[in-house]
Amino acid sequence: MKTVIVYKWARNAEDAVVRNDGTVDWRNAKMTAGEDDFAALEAAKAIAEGDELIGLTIGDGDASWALARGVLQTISVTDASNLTDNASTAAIIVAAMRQIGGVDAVVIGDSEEYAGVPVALAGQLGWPAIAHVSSASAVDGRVQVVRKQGSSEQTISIAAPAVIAVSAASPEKKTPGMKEQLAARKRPVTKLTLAAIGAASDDKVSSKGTRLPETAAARIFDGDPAAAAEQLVAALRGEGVL
Amino acid sequence: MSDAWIIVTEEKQVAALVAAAKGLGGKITAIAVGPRALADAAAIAGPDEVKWVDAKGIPVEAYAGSVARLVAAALPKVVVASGTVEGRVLAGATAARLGAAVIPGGLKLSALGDRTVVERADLDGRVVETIEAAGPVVTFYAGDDVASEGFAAVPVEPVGTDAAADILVEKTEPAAGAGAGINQAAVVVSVGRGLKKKDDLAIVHDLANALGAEIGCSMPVADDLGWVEKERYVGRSGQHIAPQLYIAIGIRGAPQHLEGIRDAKVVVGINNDPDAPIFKFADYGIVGDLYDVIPALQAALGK
Amino acid sequence: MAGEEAGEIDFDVIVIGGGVAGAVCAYQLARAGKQVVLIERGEQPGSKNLSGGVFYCRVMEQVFPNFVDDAPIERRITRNVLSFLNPTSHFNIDYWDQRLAEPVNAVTVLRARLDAWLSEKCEEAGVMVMSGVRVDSLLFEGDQVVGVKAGEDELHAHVVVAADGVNSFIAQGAGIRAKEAPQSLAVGVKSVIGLPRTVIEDRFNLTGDNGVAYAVVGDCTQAVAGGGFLYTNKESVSVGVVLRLDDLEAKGLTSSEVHDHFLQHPAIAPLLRDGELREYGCHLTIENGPRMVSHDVTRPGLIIIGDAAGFTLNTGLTIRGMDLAAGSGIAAAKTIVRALELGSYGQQAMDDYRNQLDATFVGADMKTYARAPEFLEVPRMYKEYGLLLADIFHDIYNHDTTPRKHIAATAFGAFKRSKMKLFTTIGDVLKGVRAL
Ligand SMILES: Cc1cc2nc3c(=O)[nH]c(=O)nc-3n(C[C@H](O)[C@H](O)[C@H](O)COP(=O)(O)OP(=O)(O)OC[C@H]3O[C@@H](n4cnc5c(N)ncnc54)[C@H](O)[C@@H]3O)c2cc1C
Ligand SMILES: Cc1cc2nc3c(=O)[nH]c(=O)nc-3n(C[C@H](O)[C@H](O)[C@H](O)COP(=O)(O)OP(=O)(O)OC[C@H]3O[C@@H](n4cnc5c(N)ncnc54)[C@H](O)[C@@H]3O)c2cc1C
Ligand SMILES: Nc1ncnc2c1ncn2[C@@H]1O[C@H](COP(=O)(O)O)[C@@H](O)[C@H]1O
Repeated sequence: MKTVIVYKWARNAEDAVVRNDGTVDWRNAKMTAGEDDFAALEAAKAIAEGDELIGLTIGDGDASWALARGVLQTISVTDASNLTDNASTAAIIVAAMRQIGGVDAVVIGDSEEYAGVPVALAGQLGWPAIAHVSSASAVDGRVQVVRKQGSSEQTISIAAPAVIAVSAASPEKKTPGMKEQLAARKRPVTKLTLAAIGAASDDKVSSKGTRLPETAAARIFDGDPAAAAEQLVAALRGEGVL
Repeated sequence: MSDAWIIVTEEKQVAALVAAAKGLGGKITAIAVGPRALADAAAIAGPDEVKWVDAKGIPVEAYAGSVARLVAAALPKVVVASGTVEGRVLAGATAARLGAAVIPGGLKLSALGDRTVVERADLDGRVVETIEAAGPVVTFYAGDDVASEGFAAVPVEPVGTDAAADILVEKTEPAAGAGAGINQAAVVVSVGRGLKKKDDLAIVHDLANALGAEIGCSMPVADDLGWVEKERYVGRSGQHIAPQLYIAIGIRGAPQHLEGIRDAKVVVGINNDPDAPIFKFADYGIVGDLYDVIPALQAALGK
Repeated sequence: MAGEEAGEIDFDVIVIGGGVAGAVCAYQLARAGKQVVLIERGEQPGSKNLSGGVFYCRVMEQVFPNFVDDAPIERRITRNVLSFLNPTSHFNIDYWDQRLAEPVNAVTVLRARLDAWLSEKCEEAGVMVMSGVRVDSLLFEGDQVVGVKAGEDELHAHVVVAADGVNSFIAQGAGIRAKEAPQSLAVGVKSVIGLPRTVIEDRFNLTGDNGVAYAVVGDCTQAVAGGGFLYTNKESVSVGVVLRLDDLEAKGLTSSEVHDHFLQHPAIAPLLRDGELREYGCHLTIENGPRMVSHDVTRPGLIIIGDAAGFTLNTGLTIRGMDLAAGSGIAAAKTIVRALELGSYGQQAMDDYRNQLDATFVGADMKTYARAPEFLEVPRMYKEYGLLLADIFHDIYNHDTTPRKHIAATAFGAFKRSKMKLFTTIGDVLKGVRAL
């Protein structure tokens, strides 16, 4: 199946520092692919089954991320910015996919932070979608996925074309080696602009700033372990959980 | 004041979805997609009306197109869905039909003139962001569950659907570890990479025995180190558990880990790093070396 | 590409390690039109690196003409405080000079940001930056280094540059360096404490982008040979200790204990009050660079630069590693460009590196400071002098109604009570003057 793997390239939220006043300092945040994206790529390879597999990223995504992981060609929409509205992000992906044409399946990381992108994408394409998928393959012209739902594991079959949003189960175990990175350099990267794909990069919403959540801080017992332990046990007995 | 729709795919958060939509001050319509019981649960959660799509045992996602058409026809300013895998797919289709913005992580909604204000959790819940939208908005609710106030049931109106999308469940099996004791335990003592070596698990077991607890762990302890069975690790890709008491020992509190204990009643963190994120999430904490704290807890429990 | 084993060559040069040394060297080579790969084991260059953070950055102007304006620097150091710390007192020498701001002499940096910027510059210049790859060993043909091996993969080049930092397993693996003796090494433990910009400026009496660097000796290390430092960044303070490994062991302390003690010291804690911990890390550094550099720094087809070669000067008041890393990277690049032009990569071609070093401040400074480590071995540095200074000034300022004495007499009184011998002291002063 002709498959598109959409990966995100964004500042790593784990590196963002939240200041005491609730504002966010992004200065030390490094650009990385989403933590689910490598798993999405594995699923995309399985669905493509050797047919065309195209990497797609928007913004200043690093094409070599996908190329070094075995994708043979990538497209990046260079002038798209990072948007708050997940539907606007999805609209840019849709416009890029129209340029590609004839796609049977689009596979994308199901990130917590951008949980709206895969489903808005499916909505705009008018395609069915399955989220939180752990693995996928192509079976008789359909896409078969496995996902965990509560305490059970479902195997679901879905007719193409479809959107498959994949969640990783762990950090990536093996990153590309020297030869793979070298090979990536020789593969084609197509750069597109928003104008060229007929898309716009405007947020339909505006952010009015951030603040700290008003969750109650934990009651901390410190100092002498024996005293702290006794206070904790007393508190837990008070809660009725011991 | 703006009208809102809520998309209901599971009973768990219905009351919270309605409560969040009430912040807008307008009429609230719930659309429940699933069995009749789900629609009935929505009917007593406080909306003004309930529409019901009978899912007839096929995956709820297959009705995304129908739900989108129904909801969009009413031109609501706000649509709230739960952040579950199915709820999101229905909401994404609806947003496309409505031309709405999509904002994950919604906590609180209000109307400001003809604009909608969404307060949402961002950065794994470390901050709350305030977002304003002039046009329609679709959000996934990410706040706490609330207890239903026992509203009088409103009528449930079954609605017809278009042809369902071609999605089939081929097989359903119990997930790994679904039957493990940790899922039913009232108390779970869980250990992370703060433990220095496998042999030291003995003191953790002793504490668990004293508490009548099951042992849990963070992913690396099971996955990378293999000190504890894989069925026992807690978190996003491991077990999601809801014990009365969860004691996280030498566990940093990575967001992926915390995902597994959102429904725990009381969480205790024991960590020698006062800045460990577990202390932002826990109800109680002891800052100290686990090798000092565990024996001290044993002693305190004996008193 | 004129190579002895043409056809097998993937790059002209392979640089191992994306720290300051490796990045500067790779950048210079790419600017000279050479095919270069920079291999970094971290997910990104800088992700694993740690420095106290004062960069004596004049050398960088040779590489990036607008370094101070373009690079992500934190603050320009215009105030230096030398602090002798005792348990209940401190004696500070506070030197502020606006002249230090123009031209810029020293800046504070955070390595994660600086290294990422350097690697971006490298890519712009045409370097292939390979991250997430750990080089395991060198490839040899006879005694000629011809490439590197990582996992199953091999890459070949005319010249390999080892810029892999203080532990340099590459240099050790090539049999150039033995495992370093503990008295040549020190361990640094550092925290970055976040504070609002305005608080930093008020607390440290700073304006604009100006900053202060504290060098602290005495009680900050609980008498372990070494020192403490505190540097201001834009929105944070880098603070920590550098401790000589052998002495730390001898005193039976751990580096994190000493670090915590320093941060909680009554003279330091108020400077960090209400701050939030942003980063905490531990890293080896070089105590006796001159001794380390006395071994070879080249092999046929191999050049060692930066910390991997031992180019760090610990003068007690400052650690200079980043500027020497950059300087040695520049020198190596010059040697390699010449070798590539001649098409010869044997020992003789590589030997030119020593000449290039000697022609710059790197070679000169390594000689000038050759005695500093010896001076720093004087144990009195870490305790008695601070107490003596504090006692002198206590006598001056403590108006306890006894008749006042002239300062000289006061000082002498304090000195006598300190049980130090006049001759030892004079000896130390002379050693210090000669060494620093
Ligand atoms: C896609 C993905 C999915 C993941 N899914 C999961 C998941 O389901 N479950 C999960 O757990 N993780 C998961 N992870 C991994 C997760 O991100 C963290 O890496 C992991 O939870 C960290 O485990 P830890 O807290 O035990 O270890 P560490 O992060 O190493 O933390 C150890 C903690 O112990 C403390 N400590 C050390 N010594 C002592 C001592 N003597 N006394 C007291 N405290 C001490 C330290 O201060 C530290 O806070 C996932 C990651 C990814 C990318
Ligand atoms: C606590 C502390 C405080 C300091 N304070 C200062 C200061 O204030 N001013 C100053 O100028 N200097 C300071 N230094 C010294 C300074 O940090 C070093 O001298 C400098 O970083 C050396 O640069 P480098 O490029 O040689 O090595 P590094 O910066 O150590 O870089 C080596 C790189 O090689 C990579 N690497 C290692 N092995 C491999 C491998 N096998 N394969 C691939 N990549 C590999 C590493 O990941 C790393 O990125 C301090 C050091 C410490 C520890
Ligand atoms: N912007 C500045 N940065 C650093 N030191 C300054 C600055 N301006 C003045 N100083 C000097 O710093 C010294 C310490 O100041 P004070 O804290 O007032 O004792 C005085 O000599 C001041 O003149």
